[in-house]
Amino acid sequence: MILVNGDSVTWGCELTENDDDMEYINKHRYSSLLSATNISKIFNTNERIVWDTIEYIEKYGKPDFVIIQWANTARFEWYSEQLKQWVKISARHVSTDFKDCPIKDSNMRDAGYAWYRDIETKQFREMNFWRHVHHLESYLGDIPHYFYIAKGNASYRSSKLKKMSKKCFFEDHSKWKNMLDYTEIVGDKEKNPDNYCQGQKSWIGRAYGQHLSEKGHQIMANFLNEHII
Amino acid sequence: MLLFAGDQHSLGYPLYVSGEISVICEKGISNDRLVKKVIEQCEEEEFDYVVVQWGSWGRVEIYQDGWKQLKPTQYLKKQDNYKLSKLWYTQIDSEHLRSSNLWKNVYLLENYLSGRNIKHYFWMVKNNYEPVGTYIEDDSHIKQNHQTDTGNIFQDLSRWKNMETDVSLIGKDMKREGLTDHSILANKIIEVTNDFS
Repeated sequence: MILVNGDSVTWGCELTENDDDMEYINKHRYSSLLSATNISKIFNTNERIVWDTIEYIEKYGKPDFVIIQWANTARFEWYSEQLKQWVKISARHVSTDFKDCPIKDSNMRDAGYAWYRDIETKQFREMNFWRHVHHLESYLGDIPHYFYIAKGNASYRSSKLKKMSKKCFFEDHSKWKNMLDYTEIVGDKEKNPDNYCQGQKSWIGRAYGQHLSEKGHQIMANFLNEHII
Repeated sequence: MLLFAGDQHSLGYPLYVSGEISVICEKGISNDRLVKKVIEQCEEEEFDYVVVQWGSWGRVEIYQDGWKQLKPTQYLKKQDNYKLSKLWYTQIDSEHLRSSNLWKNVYLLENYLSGRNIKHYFWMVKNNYEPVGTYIEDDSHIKQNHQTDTGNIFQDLSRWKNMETDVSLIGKDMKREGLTDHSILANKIIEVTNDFS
């Protein structure tokens, strides 16, 4: 069994308008083309990707192969004392003043503002991300696995910026320190527009047009099938 | 060569251990920094055994023009990093976050040391906590002054999930009562590690 986890890119967002035709999405996303079990979630955090992957394996046993698509590194999990649960917070929540945030917690807004305006820095974000990578890499051990990242921006510039950043402490200790961005697998959007969705209305203001098209999912599946698994 | 790491509670007892030792203990060190320092040290030198005393769970290390350590007392006593500390401990901090961060660090270091076949022993000081920040309403009013281990998946996975404490090891509450004779702790650590073998 192949286990796949990630965020909206792996979930198959924008393959249909409003992301509501699960039969269609299931048929065309790359995990299905690999006959894999897909446990990804829309708007996933990297912390949640680690938790869910480990919990799934602890519950259902070792898969033959694990594919992890790491998400935007700026999202974070915060524990809400009000709701008694971990909640996901993103920079977009802050930039939109939490207007379309489905979770109602008055303290969440303060946490989001404090995090993105005063606490978070690129170095801190990278450190947290590579700790997550290190955790999952350590846990998976001898289970064959492949890691790649979808930073959420399919432009050429985005993938190049990633390579220019200075390596952080835990990145140096990871065998995945040179993991590919999804744009390096399916090509960037400027040169390969057909590999990305043209943009669905429901994603305007979010990752509009940044998700893989049917063709993009096919290319991703072919890459994983031929070179990785 | 033995490596001892921890906060101020580990400054004394390693001196009562015979043989070649290296000590990286700092007053008020966060567990985030502790992990980095142990790994850095292990990358530089070969150690036969590493003993880590985990510090107060509420301390964290964040980056703002260099890595800075935050702890609740900075906010309560208006010390260094007061503004950042206030933000962290009033807006971000929680018992769950503290537990989560502790066990992330434990799991990470445990895997690093195991991966390098370095024998190790982890322990902690039982009452080494600081006020839980999200309950702090102002400088003088603290609603909660205890800490619960809410656990997380990394605790479940860790072989150190039932880590010994000062109280279970030597029957002393080092945080509240202090420890004058550090040889008691040193002898106990030697015993539980089977003389670091």
